[in-house]
Amino acid sequence: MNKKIMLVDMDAFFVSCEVAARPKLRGKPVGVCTGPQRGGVVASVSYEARKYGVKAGMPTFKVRDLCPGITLIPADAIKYAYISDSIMEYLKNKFEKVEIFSVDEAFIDVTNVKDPIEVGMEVKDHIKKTFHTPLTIGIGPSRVIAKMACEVSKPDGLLEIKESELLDKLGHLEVYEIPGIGERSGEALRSMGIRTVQDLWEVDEGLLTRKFGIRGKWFKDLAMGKDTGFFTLLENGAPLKSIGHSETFPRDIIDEEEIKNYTLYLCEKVGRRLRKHKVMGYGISVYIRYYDFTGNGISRKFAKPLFTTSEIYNSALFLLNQIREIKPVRLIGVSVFALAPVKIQLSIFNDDCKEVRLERTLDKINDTYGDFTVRRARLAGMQSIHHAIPPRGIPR
Amino acid sequence: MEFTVDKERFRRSIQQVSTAIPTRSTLPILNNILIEVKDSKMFLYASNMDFSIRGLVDVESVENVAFTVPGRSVLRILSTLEVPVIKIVYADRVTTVKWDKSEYTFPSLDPLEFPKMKEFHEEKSVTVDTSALLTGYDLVSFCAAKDDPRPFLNGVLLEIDDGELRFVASDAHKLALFVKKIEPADTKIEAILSTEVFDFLRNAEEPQVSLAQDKGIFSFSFTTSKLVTRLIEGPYAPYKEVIPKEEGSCFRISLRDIDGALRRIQEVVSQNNFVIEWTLSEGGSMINGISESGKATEYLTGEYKGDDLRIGFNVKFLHEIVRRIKSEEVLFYFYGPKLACMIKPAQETDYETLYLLMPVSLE
Repeated sequence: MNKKIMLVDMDAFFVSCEVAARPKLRGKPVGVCTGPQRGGVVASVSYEARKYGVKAGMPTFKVRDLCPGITLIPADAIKYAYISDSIMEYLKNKFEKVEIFSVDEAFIDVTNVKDPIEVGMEVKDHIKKTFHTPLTIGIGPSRVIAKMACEVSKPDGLLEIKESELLDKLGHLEVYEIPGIGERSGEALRSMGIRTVQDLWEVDEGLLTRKFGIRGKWFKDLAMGKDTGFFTLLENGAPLKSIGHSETFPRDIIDEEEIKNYTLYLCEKVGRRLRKHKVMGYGISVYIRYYDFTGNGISRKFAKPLFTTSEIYNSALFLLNQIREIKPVRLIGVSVFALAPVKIQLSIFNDDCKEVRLERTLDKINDTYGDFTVRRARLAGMQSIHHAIPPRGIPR
Repeated sequence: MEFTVDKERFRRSIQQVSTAIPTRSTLPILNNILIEVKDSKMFLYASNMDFSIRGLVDVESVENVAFTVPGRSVLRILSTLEVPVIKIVYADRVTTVKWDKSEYTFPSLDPLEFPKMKEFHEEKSVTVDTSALLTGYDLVSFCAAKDDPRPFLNGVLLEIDDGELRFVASDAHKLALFVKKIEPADTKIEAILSTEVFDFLRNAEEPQVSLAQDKGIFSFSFTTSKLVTRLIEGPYAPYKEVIPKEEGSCFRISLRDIDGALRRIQEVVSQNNFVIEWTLSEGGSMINGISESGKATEYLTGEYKGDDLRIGFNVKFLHEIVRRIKSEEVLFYFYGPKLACMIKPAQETDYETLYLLMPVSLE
């Protein structure tokens, strides 16, 4: 039997949560912002605000320029995590195979469901009545097609795309609209004359492989609705491949010490997740984006694995210094890869193990009393860590 | 002002001093070599602020002068040049290197900007074989840390006392010790040196080198060249305390067998996990490795005497040590699953080497 995947995707989730608590804002331009209201960025915007050209990730000053009447609300991470948990709990009770992909997205295997459209309607009605948050449901033969079905029917939509309808319904889309093919790869494909999903269907696989290597075949599989593993959430059962965290800062920063502080903050988050999953990483990659939306990244593998926050921070900083240009920084991302189960390399002079024990103790305290209850001195004065929105991945 | 110089001697001297030229520097003067001509002697200086090198070449000149030339460029030019003698002309802050009808000109930077080489009284120096120093360094330096926050671990410890030349290096996971008997001397040396300074010795042609130390400064001197370096701040880690005094459970194996086994097993475990599990008993010994890319089991042919043991190692570290052993057989001494393993060559040479490797906790 052909596979059927349903994606439940909340529409402008953070904004929807806020509007549910303030019904007067329904139908008006609203944004949820991280960091201070002046100088921060918007993490989520209502569809009414999008009509003015406002997009998630924009600095708030620019948002106000584009849409002067917008209501900006500071992010409330705990509220969103609570509502997300409740919705996911409902889905897990209703379906056998649910993969929580992010705070506002879940993939559901509906291969054995007789009428997925009818079930989709039920899910939509229940969530809208219970939580007053709109959502879109996409159904397709793979996760990627389910995601594309969602994208073309947003907001508040429900669409099933069967294998036989792929070309009719999605063939006209630009290649970079396929999840997994970013703007850069999309540009490279366009330079070869491959502009749409249909072009990707028709192009010879050998030509793609010669140009992009193994990724070429992957691009074609994505377009044809084959399940490539992209969007497969690995935290439920299968081994993790990397653990990373990135953040757009409340304002562009150029001060060396402030960049170090944010890098440490990101490394602390990555380190805690590594230790929580009892894995260590033999590689690290760092990405930096500047105020002008240019950016670059670097990766490195080591013989000695990274496990403690200090190890991750020292390596991340080392790599960051190799690529960083002297201009205001907007976003930094740190990701640890080549993960393996924890096996601690013991130290001759007995210092390293002390650090591992110290970090595990700090994790226990912060797990019990809340994130960053005990923090490194460098993070002592940092305010913005309270505004952190749950990262992409499992909500908490 | 102009003078002539033997091209090959000039090239060799530039090659030797240029090991001090930094790869990247924010100070343009450091990319240059300072040339001082004084009483028919040409002194060449290069520096990266941590260490400086001075070379000496005889020239035919009547005037004293100082100027700079871009070190690496001049070296590359001279390396492909086949003439016995070159002429150097310096006038109006421009240096011209000439031979036959060819010439290259370089603007000179202000020689006064060049950092002065630190000089100190070297009455108390000790002379040792250059080859002994290089052998010792090569056998231990791979154990030094690369960017450890404890600076002393990023260097190598050189000790000379009680008629012994000792080298120690450690990154806190592995440790190497080299000991060689030398002629007893009155002067003691205890210096933590950057691994970068030893390239200077490789370019030297003299069989013996003189070492001197004064407070935070150290020098290697040959007749025609000298390196002066800042020492890495110590004290060094207490290495003598961590070397086991007893021999422990011993595993003896041919170098070829263990080297081959470790090479093969890395094909499986090196993808993203370098850990191997070594099981030892008097009935037999085997190494297991597992990763996403597969699983490997190697039965080892060696002889083991001691209690049964299961111990984990980073195979990359273990192989790095084994590759440096200069002996037909290797001895591994074990003291427990969480204690350092001591590794030694089984056959004696005119020097001693000893390595310690800390295990990986398998629990």
